[in-house]
Amino acid sequence: MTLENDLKRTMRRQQPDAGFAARVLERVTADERERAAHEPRRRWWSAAAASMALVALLGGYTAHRVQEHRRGVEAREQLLTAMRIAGEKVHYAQQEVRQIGTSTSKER
Amino acid sequence: MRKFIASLALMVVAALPAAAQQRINLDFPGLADKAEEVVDITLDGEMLRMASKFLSGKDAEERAVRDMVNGLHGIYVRSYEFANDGEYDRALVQSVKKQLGPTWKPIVTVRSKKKENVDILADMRGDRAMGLVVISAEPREFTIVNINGPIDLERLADLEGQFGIPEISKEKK
Amino acid sequence: MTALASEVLEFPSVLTRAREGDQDAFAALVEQHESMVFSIAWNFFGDRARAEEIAQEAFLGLYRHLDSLESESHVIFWLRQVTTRKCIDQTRRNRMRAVSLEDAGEIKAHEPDFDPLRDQTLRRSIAELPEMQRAIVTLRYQEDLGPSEICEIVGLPVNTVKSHLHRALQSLRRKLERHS
Repeated sequence: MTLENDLKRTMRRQQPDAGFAARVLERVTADERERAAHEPRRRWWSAAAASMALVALLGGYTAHRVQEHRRGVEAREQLLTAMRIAGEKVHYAQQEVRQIGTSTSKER
Repeated sequence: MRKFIASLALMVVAALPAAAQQRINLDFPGLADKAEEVVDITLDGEMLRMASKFLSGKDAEERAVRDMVNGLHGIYVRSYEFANDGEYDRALVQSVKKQLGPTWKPIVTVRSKKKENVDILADMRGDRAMGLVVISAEPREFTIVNINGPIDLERLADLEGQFGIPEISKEKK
Repeated sequence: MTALASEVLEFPSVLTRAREGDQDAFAALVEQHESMVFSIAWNFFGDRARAEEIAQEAFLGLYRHLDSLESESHVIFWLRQVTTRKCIDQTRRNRMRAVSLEDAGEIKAHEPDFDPLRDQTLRRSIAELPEMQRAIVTLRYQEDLGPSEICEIVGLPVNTVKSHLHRALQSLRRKLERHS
C-alpha cells in the first residue's frame, strides 16, 4: 500500500543532534545534585506519603481508584471516538447538501 | 454520475430533560466476524458521565464534546469495515429504520453511487431532537451511530472541524 | 567463553552497571536508544528542539527508574511508553499541531521514487491528527509495532487502537488526495 510505504519512509528514525548522551548525563548530574540538596525535606514528605499510602492500601481505596481511573480514561477515549465518527458522518451529509444548494443556484 | 436526494431541516435545540428513549437494537449477528475492522462502542448513562469527567475543560475540542454530551442518556456506535465491496447486506439499513417509531423523522438522506449513502433520522418531540440515528453505508463500510437524548445536529457537524481536520468554509446560501 | 556468549552477556551487564551507578554504562544505554526516543518525539511534533527536550526527560526518567527495569526489552518498552505519553500529555496541554516547514527534516532528493512535496504534505497531515491517532501512527510506522504491542504502550484496548489507526489512515489518505 503506497500510503503505508510513504509513512514508513517519512517516519524513519532520526538522530538527535551530536552530543545528546552527554547532555543527558549533564542533566542527570544536575538533577542528582538538586535531589541531594532537598533530601531532608523529601524524606519527611516521603515518610508522610508512605504512611498515607499504607492507610489507603489497607482500606482498598487505592486499588479501587486506580481501576476507576483506568475505566474513566478508556471511557473518555471511546466517547471521543464515537463523537468523531458521528461528527464526520453528519458533516459529510451537511457538505453534500450544501453542494446541491450551490449547484442548484448556479443552474438558475 | 452522482445522484443525490437531500433535504435538511436546520435545527436549533435547547437541551431539556427528557425521558430516556428506548435503545435501538444494534446487534448484527455474524457481521463482526466478516469484517476486517470493527468499532463497537456502548456508553450508557453511567459510562457517559464517567467519560465526561475525564474530558479536559481546557481543551476546546473536549469542552465541545462535554457540552454536547451533557444530558445524553447513551451513545452507541457500530462500525464495520470489510476487505471487499458488497460483503454486507444493504438490507441492514432498513432493519435499523424499521425499529424507529412514528416520532422519528428523516432529516438528511444522501445517496451516492460511488461514495457513501447517509441517512440521518431524529426523534422529534415538538421542534426538539431527543435522539439521533446516523446510518452510513459505503461499499466497504457500514456504520451506525445512535445517540439517545437531546442533541444539536449543527454542533455535531461542527465537531468535524475541531478534531484537527481543517474545516471546510461554511458558505451561506 | 565464545564470542556469541559474550555478546549475549553484553547488554545485561550494561544495564547492571548502569544500575550500580556507572555513568559510562548509562551513557551507552542512552546512545543505544537515543534515536528511537528522539524520533518518537520528532515524528510527533516535527520540532527538533522540542523532541530533544522530551527525549532528555525520558532518559532522566530512565535513570531514576533503572532499579525497576529488568531487561533490554523492558527498557525499550518503558522508553517507548514514557516518550509516547509525554508527547500526548504535552499536546493536550499546549494544543500545538503546526509543523514548521523549516524543521521538516532533510529532503532526500537522491531517492528515485521520493516525492518531497508529498512527504511534506504527509508530515503536515500527521501533525494535524488528534494526539492519540498521531501516537499510534508513530508507533506503527516508525517502530513497526502491531496493534497488540501498541495497546500495551498507550494503555487502550486493542480494538480501540485498531480503530484509531484506521481513522488516522483514512484521514491521511483524504488529505493526500486533496493535495495531489
